[in-house]
Amino acid sequence: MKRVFVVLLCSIALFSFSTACSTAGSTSESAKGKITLQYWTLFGGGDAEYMQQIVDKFNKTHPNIHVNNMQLDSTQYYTKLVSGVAAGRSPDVAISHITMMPELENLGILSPVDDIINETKVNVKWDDFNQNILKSSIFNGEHYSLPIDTHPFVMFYNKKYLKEAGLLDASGNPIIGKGPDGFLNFLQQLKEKLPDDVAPFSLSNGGDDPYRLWWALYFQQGAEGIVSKDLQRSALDMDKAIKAAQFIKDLYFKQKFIPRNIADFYQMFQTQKAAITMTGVWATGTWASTKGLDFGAMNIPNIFGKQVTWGDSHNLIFPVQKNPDPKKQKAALEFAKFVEENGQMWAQAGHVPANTTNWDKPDFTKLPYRKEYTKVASTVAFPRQTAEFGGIKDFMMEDLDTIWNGSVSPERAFKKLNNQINDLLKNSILK
Amino acid sequence: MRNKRISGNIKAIPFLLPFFVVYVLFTIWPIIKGLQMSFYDWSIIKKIRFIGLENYAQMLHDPDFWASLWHTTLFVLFSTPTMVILALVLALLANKKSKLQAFYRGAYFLPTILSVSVISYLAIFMLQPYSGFINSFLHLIGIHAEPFWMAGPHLAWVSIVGVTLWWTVGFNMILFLAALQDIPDYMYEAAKIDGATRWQLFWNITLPQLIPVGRIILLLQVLASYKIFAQIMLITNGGPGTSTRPIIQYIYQTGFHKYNLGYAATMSYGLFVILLILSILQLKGQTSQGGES
Amino acid sequence: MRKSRAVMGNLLPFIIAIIFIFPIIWMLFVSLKPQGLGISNPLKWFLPPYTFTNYVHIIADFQVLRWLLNSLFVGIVTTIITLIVTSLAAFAISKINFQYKKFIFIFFLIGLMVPGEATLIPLYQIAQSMHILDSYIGLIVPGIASPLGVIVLKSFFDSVPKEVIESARMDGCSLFRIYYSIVLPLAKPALASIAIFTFIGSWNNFLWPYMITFSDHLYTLPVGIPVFNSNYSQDYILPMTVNAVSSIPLIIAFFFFEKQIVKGISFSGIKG
Repeated sequence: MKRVFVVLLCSIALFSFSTACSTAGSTSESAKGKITLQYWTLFGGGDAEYMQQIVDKFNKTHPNIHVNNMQLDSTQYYTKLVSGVAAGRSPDVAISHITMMPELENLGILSPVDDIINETKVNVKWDDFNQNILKSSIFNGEHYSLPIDTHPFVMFYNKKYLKEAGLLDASGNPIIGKGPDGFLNFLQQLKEKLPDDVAPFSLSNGGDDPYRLWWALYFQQGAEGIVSKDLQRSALDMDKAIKAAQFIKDLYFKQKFIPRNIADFYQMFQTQKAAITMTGVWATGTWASTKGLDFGAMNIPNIFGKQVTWGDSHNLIFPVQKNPDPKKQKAALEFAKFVEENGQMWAQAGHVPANTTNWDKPDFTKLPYRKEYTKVASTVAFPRQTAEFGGIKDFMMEDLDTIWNGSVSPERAFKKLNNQINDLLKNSILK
Repeated sequence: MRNKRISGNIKAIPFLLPFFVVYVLFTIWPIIKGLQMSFYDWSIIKKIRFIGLENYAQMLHDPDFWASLWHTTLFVLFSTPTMVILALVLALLANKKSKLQAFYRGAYFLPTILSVSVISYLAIFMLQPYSGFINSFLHLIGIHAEPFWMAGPHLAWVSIVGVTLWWTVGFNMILFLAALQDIPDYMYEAAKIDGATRWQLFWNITLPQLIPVGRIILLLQVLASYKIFAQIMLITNGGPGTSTRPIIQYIYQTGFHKYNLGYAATMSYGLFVILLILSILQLKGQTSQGGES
Repeated sequence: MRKSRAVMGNLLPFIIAIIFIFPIIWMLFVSLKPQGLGISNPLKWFLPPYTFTNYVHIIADFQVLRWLLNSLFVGIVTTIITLIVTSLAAFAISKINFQYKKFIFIFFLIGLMVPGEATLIPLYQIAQSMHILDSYIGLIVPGIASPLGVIVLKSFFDSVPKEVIESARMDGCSLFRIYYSIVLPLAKPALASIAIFTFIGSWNNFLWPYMITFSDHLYTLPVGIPVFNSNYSQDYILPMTVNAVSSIPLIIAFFFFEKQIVKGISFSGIKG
């Protein structure tokens, strides 16, 4: 018995060691002619599939380059990116949200794209990009990324349920009255007419999506921003922040339109257990491929005055390398251009391509809702370019979560948030 | 004499050296390095600036530091007694003569061998509201409550303590079991002749015999509980809000989300000092008690 | 009264045992369900249809098996090296006369007071400057630096009578020979106990591998499972299959070696 065990252990050790070596071998082998690029992404679900399709297509059409798409856990992504670069394990090309780029730039993670263009002579036509997004990817007059999309926060609705409740007009658009009352009334009517096991509104009880809704409602009231113009202090507008949070909190607790603590609110809408939901446009692709789900998408209702929503943008960045290899840089830039130019593939997930030449392609125009999305994309309220946005966002989500679970009042939560933001800006290590 | 000593030195070196090197590099040097880092504004990208005791001053005034330290302490206070008592109960049950004795022991211990990620995701999927196994089982047997096991700040703690209990109690049970089996039979026989009841047997013989091992378990458990991190990060991620965030997670986030390694090292030192005081106190308590008996 | 008590006495351990293994059983049943199945009645998880396609999918299309092997590899190598270096050091302290012996032993004792978690941040910096982040060496080496083994083994070696050593010296045995053929075999129970603790510690280590791995082919199971689940969790079934794949080898090993494991753990309690 013991001997069997020892043999087993040794063979496992040997086997894992040999596999370890074989992967190491394959990378060195590729140095002979084929360039291998490490590409880090943070996508999950439908996004992950469409991005993999783009990578596969690139690998097929570029026999000399192999892009290795490494999917990281989105919650730890930036931690891994920053510590990876610090540890000399930079990927050759990676995804970054545009709101996180000031932080990465401050940390010295990003290499300017213009330098790479000068060195590699790959031609990038900046005029083709959505200028609104492009502007945010420029620091000190230099390009630091190739934006690939905008992804605004929108509302999805189940056409069947809305129709049954008499809330669809002749052209198939939801009938929602003006202001807070109009929206609450709409949900109330749904609640009365829906079957018992179908909720009016599906949304998570914490984390990203209620935060996004809060963001939208805060800026709908004409709020200026979260931090002051000089990026030195918190500029949180207490009244507006509280009003927006209270409105959302009531949806859970007072009117009970949103069931609390749903494990998977996507699934709830997908399996037709909810009439509406709100999340990013990226859910479109997944739902379009769900059998029997007849849904529509629209801008989130204008509840507090201005038609504004939350949104962000995925960008391809080129992290700083210890020993930059011009061949790899060129290949990375070629790959980035390829992703740009195949924006219609990325749009299948739901995103609005940042490269506007994609907007006229038949593959893009034939997709439903996307035309609407291009308009919604221009109503996104972006945060000011502070390097602290990542930290501020962590605080915002933590404090908002305590409102959504009913343990802290909005007044107290925002007071705390205000102090946290000021402390963070004062004690920051990023200077 | 001198020669002999020197030859002893030379002979000892090859035996000592391998361990000595790794020990100095990976256990001792980090202590010194950590102290150095705590005096600096030390970011992960290595922008380094000497700031003296500023990090320590910041720590003393940081409500999040104290809150997360309190969370960890709370976990220690709740988990330690339950862990020790349940382990004792399980050991007694598993020590009873029964056809299923081996099965009981195996079953109580089995969760211990699972990886922390496995038990965390098992917990997540069993504790989910509406569709999770536990809640849908409650509905099935006619209880129409909808407890939010992971979303209520109090209930989240109950869940974390419960999951940890289920996962690790088997280990302590084995230690108790071994001590139980070491109690010589003649002690029981003698007491039985004197007409002792079962309860008296337990109270006067079993329990006193278990006290030494119980102390060890207590010490190990307190130290282990202070290191709580992985299952909380995976199950609640410190939430809702930050209401279950333990100190290790706060240190990790400070170092790797906020990139402030200097301040993270400072708080590590705070934790280090607390653990040191705790283990000295316990050792002292143990020796003085041992002296009395 | 007495009868009901006896029933209770037999029933209680049984019910608790079922509660303890129930989640594991549930996990195994869920992993056998066809993908995408939505289930509202919890008892239905246990009824047919069953399928093994999830296992095929997980093993063929993802790196889960690789992570399992990484965990085993790191655990086994850490354990073997720990046994070697700690027993060598313990032998020197117990059986060889040399200067500053007491000082060195106390120096090792200090390490017991240092919780590994409190030195992770500086350890990371050190590992970074040694360029061992994101490597097997980085995963393994910090795990062998615990002095606990040295201290346990030293007290065990102390109980080997001096006469045995001295007579072996007379016969011309080298020190290494004495260590290898006389002292080590006598210390088997202590070695087994240290091996079990080291392996479990390495197997469950989460934060360190989580911090230092950047390549997905280097993940250990505790690191890989959350990454997998965050990217692929559409339902219960695939995550539970991953859980099952990573647990089944251990569960089987446990059934084979239960006695040895239990012995190893109880040994430490008596010694301590």
